[in-house]
Amino acid sequence: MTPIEEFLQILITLDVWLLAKFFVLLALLAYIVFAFLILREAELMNKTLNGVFNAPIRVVALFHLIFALFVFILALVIL
Amino acid sequence: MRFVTWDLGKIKIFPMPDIYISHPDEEEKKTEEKEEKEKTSFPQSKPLARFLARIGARPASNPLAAFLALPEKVKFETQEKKEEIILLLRRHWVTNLAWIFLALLMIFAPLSLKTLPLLESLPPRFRLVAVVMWYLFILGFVFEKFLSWFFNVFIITDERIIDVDFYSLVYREICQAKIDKIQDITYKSGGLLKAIFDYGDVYIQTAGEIQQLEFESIPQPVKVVKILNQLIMEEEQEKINGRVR
Repeated sequence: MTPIEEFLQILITLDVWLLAKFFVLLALLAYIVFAFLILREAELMNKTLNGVFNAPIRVVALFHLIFALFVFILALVIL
Repeated sequence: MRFVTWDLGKIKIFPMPDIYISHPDEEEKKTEEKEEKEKTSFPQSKPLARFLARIGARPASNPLAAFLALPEKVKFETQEKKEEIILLLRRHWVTNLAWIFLALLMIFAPLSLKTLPLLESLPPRFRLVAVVMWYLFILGFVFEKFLSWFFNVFIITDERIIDVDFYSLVYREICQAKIDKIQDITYKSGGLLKAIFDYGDVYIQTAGEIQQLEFESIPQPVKVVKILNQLIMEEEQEKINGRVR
C-alpha cells in the first residue's frame, strides 16, 4: 500500500464526530484564553477607575471564566 | 397629662399645661425631607457645588449613570490626594441600544430551532454543547460590550480633564490636559436621537501635547461646556489670587 493509499484509508475510516469534538475543544480552549483575558482586562479597568461597581464586575468576569471551563469539561465528557 | 392639687381635703385634678408635645409623625416627616434634600442637593459650601446645583446637575447616585456629578466613591488611578472629580461621563445609554437589541435577538435565537431545524443533522450531544456554547458566547459578548461602555470614561476634575479609552482587551490610552491649558471648547449635537435624548460630542482644544480631547456621545453637552467654562474661570481666578496647586 502506497503512502497516498494509506492516507486515503485513514480518511475513510476516520470518525467525523471525533474530529468535530477535537475542533470544538480547540475552539473552547481558545475561548478560555479569551475569558481569562477578559478577567485580566476587568481587573486592569477596575484599577484604572475604582468605584462601587467594581466587585460585581469582577464576579461576572470570574463567572464567565468558570462558565467557559465548565463548557469545556462538558464537551470533553459528553462529546 | 394631669397634675393633682389638694383643696380642703378634696382632690382636684387639673389638666397639666402642655409645654411640649411631641409629634413623631411630623418629626419623621421633617427628617425624611431633610434626608431627601441632602440626597438631591450638593453641599452648598463650595462655589462649584453651588454652580452645579444652579445649572441643574444632580448629585451622583446611580453608579451606572452616564452623567455623574461629584461622584463620591469613585477614584481613578492617577488621582492626586486633593484632586476632586467634578464630572464623570460615559457615552449616553442610547448608544448601547444596538448591541443590547442584538444580544436579545441572540438570546432568543435558539427558540427558532424548533421551526428551523438547523442542528437536526447533529447528534443530540453536539446539539446540547452547541446551545450551551452559544449562551457562553452571548455572555462574553454582552460583558465585553458593557465593560467597553462602563470604563471608557471622561473625567473632569478640579485640575484637569482625562479621557480614558480601552481599545482592546489589553490596550488602553489615557489622555489628559490641565484645565488651564484648555484653549477652545466646541460641542456638537446633531441628529434626531441626539436631539431627543440630549447627547452630543464635546471637543476640547488644548495648548498641551495632546491637541484635542474628544468626549463623544456624552449626555447633556451644554452642561458639560458650562461646567468646563466655570472651571476655567475658577482656575484663572486662582492664578490671579496666587493659589495654584
